[in-house]
Amino acid sequence: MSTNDLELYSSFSLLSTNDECGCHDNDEVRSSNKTKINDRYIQLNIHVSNIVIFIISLHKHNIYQCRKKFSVDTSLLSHKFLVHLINRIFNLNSNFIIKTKNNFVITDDFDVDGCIMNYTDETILELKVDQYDTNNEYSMNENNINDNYDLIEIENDSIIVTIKSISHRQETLLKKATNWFYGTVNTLSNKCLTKKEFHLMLDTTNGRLLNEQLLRQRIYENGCEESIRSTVWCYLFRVFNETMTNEDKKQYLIKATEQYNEMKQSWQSKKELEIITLENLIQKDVTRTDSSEKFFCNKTNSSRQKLFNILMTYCIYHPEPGYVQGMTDMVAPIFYVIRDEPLVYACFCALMRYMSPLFHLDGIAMNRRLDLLRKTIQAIDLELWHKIKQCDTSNFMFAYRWLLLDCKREFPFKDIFRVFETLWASLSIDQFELNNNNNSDTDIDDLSPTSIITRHYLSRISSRTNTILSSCSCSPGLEESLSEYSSIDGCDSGYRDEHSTSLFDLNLNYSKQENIPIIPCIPLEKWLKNFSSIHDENEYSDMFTIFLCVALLEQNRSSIMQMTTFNVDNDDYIGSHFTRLSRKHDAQQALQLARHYHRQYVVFQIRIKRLQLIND
Amino acid sequence: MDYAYVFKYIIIGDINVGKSCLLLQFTDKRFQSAHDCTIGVEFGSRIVNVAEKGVKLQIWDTAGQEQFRSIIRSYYRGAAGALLVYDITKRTTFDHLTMWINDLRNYSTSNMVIVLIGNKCDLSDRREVQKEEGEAFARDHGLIFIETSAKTAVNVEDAFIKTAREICNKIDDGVFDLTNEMCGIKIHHKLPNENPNTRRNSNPNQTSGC
Repeated sequence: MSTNDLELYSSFSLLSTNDECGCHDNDEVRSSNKTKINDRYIQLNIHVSNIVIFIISLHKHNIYQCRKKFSVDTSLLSHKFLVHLINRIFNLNSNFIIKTKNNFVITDDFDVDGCIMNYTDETILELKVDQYDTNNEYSMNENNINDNYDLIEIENDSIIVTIKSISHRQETLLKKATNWFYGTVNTLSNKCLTKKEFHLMLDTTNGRLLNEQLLRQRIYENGCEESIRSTVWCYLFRVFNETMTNEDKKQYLIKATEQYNEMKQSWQSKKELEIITLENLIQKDVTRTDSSEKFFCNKTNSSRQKLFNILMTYCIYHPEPGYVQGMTDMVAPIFYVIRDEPLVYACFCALMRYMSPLFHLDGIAMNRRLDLLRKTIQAIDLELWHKIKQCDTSNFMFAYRWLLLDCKREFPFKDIFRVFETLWASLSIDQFELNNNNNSDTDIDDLSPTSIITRHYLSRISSRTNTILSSCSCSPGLEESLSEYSSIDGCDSGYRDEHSTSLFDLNLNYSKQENIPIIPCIPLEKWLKNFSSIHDENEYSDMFTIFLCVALLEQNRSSIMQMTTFNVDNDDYIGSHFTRLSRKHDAQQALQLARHYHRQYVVFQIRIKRLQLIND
Repeated sequence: MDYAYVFKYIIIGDINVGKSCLLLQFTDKRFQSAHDCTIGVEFGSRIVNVAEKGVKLQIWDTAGQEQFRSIIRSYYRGAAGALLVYDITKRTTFDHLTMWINDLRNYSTSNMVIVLIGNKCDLSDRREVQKEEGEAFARDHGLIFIETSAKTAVNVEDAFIKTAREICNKIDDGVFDLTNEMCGIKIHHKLPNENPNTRRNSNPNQTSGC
């Protein structure tokens, strides 16, 4: 061991004394000086021993091409890894030589280790890659090294390299940190919920869902596989709930179908003018909803007829709000996933319990959302806000459809399922409950499971347990490891040991809990300061949609910012721009960003709430 | 193509009369029978030639359903032209015109040019509203009248351009206060790098004239 160390040190001194060979390329030197200030700044802020920050610049025939900055988990570093990484980033085929900035050629792990030893004294590790031409197609194949790292590209050609998480293995600190900053919370489950995993969530003896909260959490983070989506959605809408066994679900389906058919027949037999007018209206909109999807155009399946029946039944039994354009857009994806007419109806009713205020004639809920969007974009990106205000006379009218339909028409149809399940899982489950519990008629009309099957143990025990980011969101160990490195998260340590209930105290129904979970310690971003107060329950449930809209704006930030302000005529620019982009936005990217904002917002609100309670 | 003015238009009328199809025919020269129903407002624009001037038409296509009416009203103001559309094969859409006119009068600027459009004239065999009725209504309310078909493109171009011509006439007559942002008309300023040249060319002429 000690001899090994010694050898390393000798190599280290060899590297550090080899100072005479300067860099040939002026360009390179200049740009490296320029970026150095930034690099130092970052370096000073992150004192983490197991991350190496280095710059790799690519040269071809001794001419500087480009450079990238990397933050790499130390444990990844090997010569093989470096070659693989460079191939991947610069799209090369192992036709290069790696050198230190002093032109010391790195050929094996020993040299790499030397560089890292050297690195402790330097602010940044600089490497040069000299690319040479090769006609040899079968040059050294490095792809046999398994792809065990993740790349996260951030601004200014900077890349974070982390070890890919392997299930049941402790994540590295860097991985955990980047997860918090750039997306997934718990990467032990980095992929969407699979059928196998889902079955593990059910009681093997009777098919009851063991932990509804965990399911919602999991869907919020990564969504689910297509094969289980229809069941998962029934749970999201609480058409199925935690108390229901397989037998209950079967019974529910039978009774709900009976009930639904009865309701359907009641309007089908009537031929009053009012009903005919409604029929024409809905028929017209059903035929033009997602008309480019084969599934809805196929004349052999009766999907259009079923969509029509569902909407008719809903509107007859819910004269308030009745039929409003846009509802077809909301029911179509549910139908595509669930297919069973009565079940789709029940799910749509549940969805409308959350959405119907938006469709209301008075426009109160829509105005609230428009206001919230304006406020939020102002808080997150003031520069963009000013630009939009300057260029858009419509006062965010272009976002009206986004807000009414939860961005349904902004993404391609194939992506909308993931967007919707994420959004629905972000909502507290009582959003899908009836507001007025005494009204058993409405309960039955909506095919609510509590009203359809009456079993003595079937109670709404879990209606107050709530949404995402409850204790299970926080991968164990994260809290501890982050607190050791307070400089990495810039987090106010005053909050660090705080204990709080999970998200549901935000629904203003705070009640004392016995087992208080620890809330995750996320570094909060500055923009949250602009949300000084807690939102009311309605606004709170709007926030995921709002952040999704902000994400759409941010995705188009550069096009918006590029607009010239010399011309007065482009005040329709933003509106036309987004009219053209309908169904073309990148859903995955938007979701990632929206989740990031939302997570920040949720933790912030929990803290505010907590502070208020302490003060009281 | 350069242009001298920007006119803001708004398209209104009952549900399913073909508002969005008219816009699509005008901007893209195509017809789409299964057009998504409009939610809120959608936007389109095109530059046309009117009275030897380029004019950019900025068109706001609105949702027809009653539920959206309150938000749409707030956007009447600030439009220079309105295309009020009904469906010649559906009497009720014609019967509602008075309501739409009242709405426009109450919520728009007073000089707005309104064109009454009887759409779907390709379906004359299913006609429920005679051309004469449309003409009479337009005459009574001081509107321009035209029958169109968004499907076959008949008169679509005309409907938009007639409106623009009427606005141009009103500008020439000095009816509009162009300094008012809410009039729905904007004078198109040349890009700043073009301005110095034109000034340099015109200034010497002016001084020599004096």
